[in-house]
Order: sequence, then C-alpha cells, then structure tokens
Amino acid sequence: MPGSLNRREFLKSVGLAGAGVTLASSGVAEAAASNNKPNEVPYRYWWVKYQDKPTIEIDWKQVQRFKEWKTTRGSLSEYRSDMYGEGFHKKLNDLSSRNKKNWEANAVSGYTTKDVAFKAAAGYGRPTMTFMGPQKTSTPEERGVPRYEGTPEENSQIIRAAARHLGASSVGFVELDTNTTMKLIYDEQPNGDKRKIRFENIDVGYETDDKLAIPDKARYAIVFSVQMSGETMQRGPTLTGSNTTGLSYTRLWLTLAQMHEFIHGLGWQSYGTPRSNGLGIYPAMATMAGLGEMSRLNRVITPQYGPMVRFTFLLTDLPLAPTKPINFGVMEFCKHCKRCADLCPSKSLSFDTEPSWEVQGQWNNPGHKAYFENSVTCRNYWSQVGTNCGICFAVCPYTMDDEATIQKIWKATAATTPAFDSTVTRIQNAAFPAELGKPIKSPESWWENENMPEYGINTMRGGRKL
Amino acid sequence: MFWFIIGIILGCILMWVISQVRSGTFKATWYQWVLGVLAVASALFGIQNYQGFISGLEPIAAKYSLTLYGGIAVVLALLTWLIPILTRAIGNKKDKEVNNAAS
Repeated sequence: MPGSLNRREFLKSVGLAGAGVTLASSGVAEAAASNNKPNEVPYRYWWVKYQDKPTIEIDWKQVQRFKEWKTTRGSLSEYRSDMYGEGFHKKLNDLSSRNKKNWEANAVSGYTTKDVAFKAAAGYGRPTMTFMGPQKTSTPEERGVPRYEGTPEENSQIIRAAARHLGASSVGFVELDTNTTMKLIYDEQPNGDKRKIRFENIDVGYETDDKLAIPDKARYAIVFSVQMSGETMQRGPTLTGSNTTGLSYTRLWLTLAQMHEFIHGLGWQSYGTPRSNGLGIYPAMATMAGLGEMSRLNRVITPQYGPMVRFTFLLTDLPLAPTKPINFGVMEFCKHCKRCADLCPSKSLSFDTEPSWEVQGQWNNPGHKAYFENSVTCRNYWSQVGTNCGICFAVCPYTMDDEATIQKIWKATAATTPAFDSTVTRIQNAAFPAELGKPIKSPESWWENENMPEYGINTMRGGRKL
Repeated sequence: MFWFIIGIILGCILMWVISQVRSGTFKATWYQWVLGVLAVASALFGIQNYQGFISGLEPIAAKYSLTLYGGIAVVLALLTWLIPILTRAIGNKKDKEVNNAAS
C-alpha cells in the first residue's frame, strides 16, 4: 500500500537511499550515466594525464603563422641549392628514379614489380580535395527541416562517433584563439597553390585565386588521426614499408571529405585543405587537441598507436567542446631514449638530451622548444632509397603493439616514474633489435602473411573497450 | 578459451595440493606457498607476454619474455622444492655433528 511501509520495505528504501548518496558523492553515478567525458579523448589508459598546457614549451609571442611552402615539401630544391650548390637537387632526383628502375629490374627485396604495383594501388582512390568539402549531400534546408542543433558536448560526441566510424583512430577538438592556436593555421598554402589563408568577418567562406577566406565563426577544429600499420612500416625504407604511408593518406583524405559531407548534411559549414598537408600544422593541432605529445621525432606520439598515425583537421562553425592536451611521459622518455636518432640512416634527428628553441633551418617554425630535425638530410636519404623512409617511426618503442602486458607496464612506468626510462630503453633495444639503415623485417616476408588485419592495423589498440 | 583451460588446470592442481596438505601427506611452510605463488605468477606472466608479442608479430620479443619469465618461474619452483630438502639435509648434518660431539 503506498504511503505505508512495513519494516522490511522501510529498511530496504533506507539502504537504497544510502547507496545512492554514496555513489553520487563518489562520482560513480555520474560516470554510469555518461561514459563520455566531454573534455577528454575517450578510451585512454589511466596513465594518460590531461593538463591545460602541452608538454612541449611554447612561446606564443614568438610563434608566427607559417607558410607551408617553406617546409621541405615545398622548398626542397632551394634548400638543397643553398646547402650543396646548384644541380644537386636534380642529381638526387635522377638518382632516385634510376635506383627505383634498377632495383625493380633486378628484383631487389622491397622494390620488386609487386611492390611497385602495390604502392601505386595504395595511393589510388583519393578524393578531390576541396576547401569547403564536396557538398554533394543535401542540407537540412533542402530537405525541409531545421539544421541539427546540440550542445557543444553533444556535437563533439556525434562528431567523434561519426569520425571513428569513417576511419579516424582518434578525434580531438581545438577552439581557435587569436593569440595562440589560430597561429597554427598556415599563413599560406603549400607549394603549387600558395594561397593566403585569412579569417574574415563573413557569413560564408570563399576562395579566390590568391586567397582562402574562412569566417571568424568557423573557429572549431576537428583534429583526427588515421592509424598506420607498424608491421608494414617495419619493412621500410622500401616501397613495401612506405605502402602504409600511401594507404593512410588515401584513407585520411577520404575520411576528411566524408566529415565535410557529414557536417554539410547537418546544416553547418566546414573548411579543410584543398591541397595535401595544407590549412595548418597537423602535429601542433593534434598536440593541442590532446591526441598525443611531441617527441624526439619532432612528430606526435599518441598513447594508443605511438607515432603510427597521420593527422589532418577541418574547421567548422558547429560549436564543439575542446579537448585538453595530454601528458603520458613521452617528452621525458625521449630525453633518455635516442633509438630513433641512433637508427636514423641520415642522422637527421636530434641527439640532444634536452629539446631546444633553436631551429635547424627555415623549414622549422620557431617559437616552441622541440627536437628540431634536419629535414633536408632526411629528404636526401629518401631520394637515395626512392621512397619515404619511416625507420624512425618503425623503431620507436611506442610503435610496438601493447597486447603483451609488459608493454603496458613500461608505458605506465614511463608516464609515472621517469627514473626508469634508461632501463626501459635498454630492454627495448634488446627485445626489438634493429640495424642501421636496414628494414627491421625482411620486405619479402611481408607478403607471406596472408592473415594481416584490414589495413594492417589493430583497431583495438590503446585499451579501447567496446 | 586458452585462459579458461589454464584456469581449470591450475584449479585442479591447487585442489590436489590442498587435499595433500589436509591429509598430512605434504607439509608446506609459509615461504613455500609464497615461492610457489610467485612461480605460478611468473609462468603466467611469461605465457601472456609470449602470446601478446606473437599476436603483435614480434617473435623475438616473444621468445625473450618467455625465456625470462619462464626462467624465473623455473628457478622459483626449484627453490620451492629444494629449500625444504636442503634445510632437512643441513639439519641432519648438524644433528649428526651434535650427536658425534656428545658421544
């Protein structure tokens, strides 16, 4: 009978109320109600700490918006001419073509006809890259319904869910700030385009022959990664090894185009790069979004996949909840572990214990304390081997899968107790032997594994739970 | 399934050991229990790491981990077995010396 409780019912209700109070005060009830913490990238190991600033030191006053074409992707011939004299660039390019031709003719491991065909196949299917997305899907307006509306947290959640399903391995968000993160947007686009990128007080963005105009309101960046195959990269520096680079770019640009379409279909605007590696500095945006930490590679290392990722991002006016930078001990670990620098065939990576404010050349963007690399000598080696190298990625201890418990233990130790970093490095060197300038595993052996997971990647890495 | 079978095997062994201890056939000191548990834990850790590295296509690391943790498990198991024998032998020797001295 409602309103009258017998002794047993009374005690039961008191017990339940007590349990409720206890759970609520400990935050368990809140966690049970929502698995997603809106300001964090979900499914992380416990040793990944979230903090307001990234582990890399940044002097935002010194940071200027960079011209992408000043990287070695855009100005390699100029840098080579300055460093080695006129004609060197052509000589190396000729050497690259000649080597590849000879090696294929002589069926050199990693450069055989099947490797050449395979590399070309991995690069096929990339969509045409556009500033405002393909815009082939209908908008809510065209469908006669209002546009999608949600809180920044809800928007972040659906964007993350969609991006993950479309092939992104991790997704984070940055809200652009004029004095800080907006400086990570390129001043000018890559070579062959060199268009200026400008933010304007306009309702809809536009592009001209010399400018990409982004509305001020499109200040939310969706930063995401696509996982690369460590198993494949261990066959570098060969065409077999670099296949994962080609394939991940194909997947990256496809996911980017699909995310444009998703946002368009929700009734909001999105802006991305119309040219490979444009719009902004991907590793910097990924660091600010909490997808990983900068490292000795002068690239991002993620908690889940190590350095085996490619990043890109797009800007949108759909309000999103920013995710925080993370710290899982990488910058400290890199001070002791110089495995990538030791095994770099062109010795292009820094051997300094501490990161530096001093850049190595005009290809680096000053204003942050990093392990700046000699990008020209790195590219020279690429020319010799006829493809991108990837050895530094392949030998990084964080690249190795962490199905083995000991891998999780050392990562947790590196994140919490840097005193053991040197010991961990020695163990890693013994457990994962590698020789200078040689693939870790035979390129030919790659073809023997017919049971490789799709795209050569383990999508359950990094403590992900379904 | 693999760990389920390992669990059943370990459970059976544990039940047998307990039954032996209860019946008085086998006497175990506290440190034998500790060493035995550590030996089993090390063996399981070695097997898990071996499996993990093999699934990650890292056979060298797999062999290292199995050798290292398997080796530790074997040493600990030997100690569990040998310590009482050695202690008894030393005790017997001392008793003999005391007896000899007394006579």
